[in-house]
Amino acid sequence: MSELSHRYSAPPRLERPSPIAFILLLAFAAFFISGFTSANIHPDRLLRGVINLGTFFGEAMPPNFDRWDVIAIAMLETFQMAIVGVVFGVILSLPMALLCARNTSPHPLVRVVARNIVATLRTVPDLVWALIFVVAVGLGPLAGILAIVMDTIGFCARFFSERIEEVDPGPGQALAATGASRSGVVCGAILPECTPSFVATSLFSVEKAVRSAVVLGLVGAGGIGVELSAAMNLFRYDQALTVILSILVVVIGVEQVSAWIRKRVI
Amino acid sequence: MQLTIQDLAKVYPDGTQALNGLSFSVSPGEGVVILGHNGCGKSTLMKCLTGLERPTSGRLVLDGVDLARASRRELRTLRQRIGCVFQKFNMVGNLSVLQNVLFGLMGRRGLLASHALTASRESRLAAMEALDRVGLAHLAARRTDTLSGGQQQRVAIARMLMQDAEIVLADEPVASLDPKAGQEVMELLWSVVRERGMTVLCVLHQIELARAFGERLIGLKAGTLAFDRPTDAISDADITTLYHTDTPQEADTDERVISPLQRAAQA
Repeated sequence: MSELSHRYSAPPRLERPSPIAFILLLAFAAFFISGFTSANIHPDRLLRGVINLGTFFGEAMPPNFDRWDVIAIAMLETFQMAIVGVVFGVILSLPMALLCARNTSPHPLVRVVARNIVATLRTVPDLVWALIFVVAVGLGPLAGILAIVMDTIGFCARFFSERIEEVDPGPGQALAATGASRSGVVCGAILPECTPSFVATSLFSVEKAVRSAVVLGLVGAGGIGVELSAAMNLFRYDQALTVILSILVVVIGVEQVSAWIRKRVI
Repeated sequence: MQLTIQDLAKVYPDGTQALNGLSFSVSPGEGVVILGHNGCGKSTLMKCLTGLERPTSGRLVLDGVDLARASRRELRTLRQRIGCVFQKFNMVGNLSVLQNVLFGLMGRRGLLASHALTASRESRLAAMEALDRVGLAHLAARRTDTLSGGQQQRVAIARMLMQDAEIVLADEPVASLDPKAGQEVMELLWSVVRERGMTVLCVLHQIELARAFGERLIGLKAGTLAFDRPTDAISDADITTLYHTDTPQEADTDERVISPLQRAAQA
């Protein structure tokens, strides 16, 4: 035993990193340090920040509910933007997902094109879509709805198509064996089997859309974001806090309801 | 429905010879059971009969149409008259029992006529009658995946009734069921088939069931016929030979399985 431990020494505590790992580590450190210094972080600045925060909350407290009717209507508009956008997004996601899924796509080439379209829709952030649509259709909720439609397709079509690819081929084959057409097999066996998962994904995208609809208002695409940016620009922090609180209530409410429905469906 | 198979052969792209000059015919209203060990070509034969696989050569004539050469359209119209019962039932699990039975109509009448929401009164009534025939009318509203295996297979038989099939292809219909449920499903299947005068082609692994239900037994070995006789004329020795001798097919399979390994070992 002791002889053995003489002949085999323990491996070193630290191993020499491979060249690639070393370069990556160096690059990461460089980005981190330059990022940290360019943020210009000083203790006195942080301290001033804390004091400013205190001023903000001091002026914001108590929240001003004078304009509650306007805020409520704006909040309702935000919620409606999210719902309308997601409904259209989900409806458009279904055919897109069928084109993207290996087992339902009519041709591999169609599949590649469809997947790339969906990937593009997903890669462009919703705020950028909103900016584009504000240019296209002008200020207001329509631009926000269109941005949410794009964002929803990018998200839902991808998850829908992944679910379709996992479907059990048996029931579909059974329908095909009775002489059913391709569309019959898709509507009769594949889509029903995927429905619970589709509903869960759609509910997630409602939550996502409500959150993004709040922010879309900041670039003028309708909803409560407009109220928030106006209150902040006018230094009416007490009104801004009311807006923030109402956003909090609605977002948490939507998440609770969607979690409850999801539990029922699956 | 008259079925005639002539010199049927199927070679898969990887070189596996699944069927090798198979010939037999089945007259309308006949009940035939096919026996054979795993890999003897039973499943390939069933896939060729439903048009899921194209045979390499030979003829496979169902009511005057050669399945080996049928166009997509001909295949679809032919499939409407072929009822299939699968080993794993293949029900759409999260839909109602009634909906799964109504899907039997889809081939002939399309999606709308076979959807529980939009189907006509007569269709819904016919589906309930089919369910009543298999003794499951009281479960019509249940989700299909909440049913037991035996019950699901009975729903599959009801779907076949709804389809109004003329020939039934059953691929190991009782392999996933316990012996009692298996016996019941076979009894139901056979009595339904007799009532409607349907032709049956049924693959079984249970020799007792095969003897009890088949009027004629076909033994498959290495993609060819080992025997094809009325059940009374089959001796136990015939069946023992079918299952227990080293057939060339088995030797082939072994060789194919081993050869890549051997190649790897040599490399």
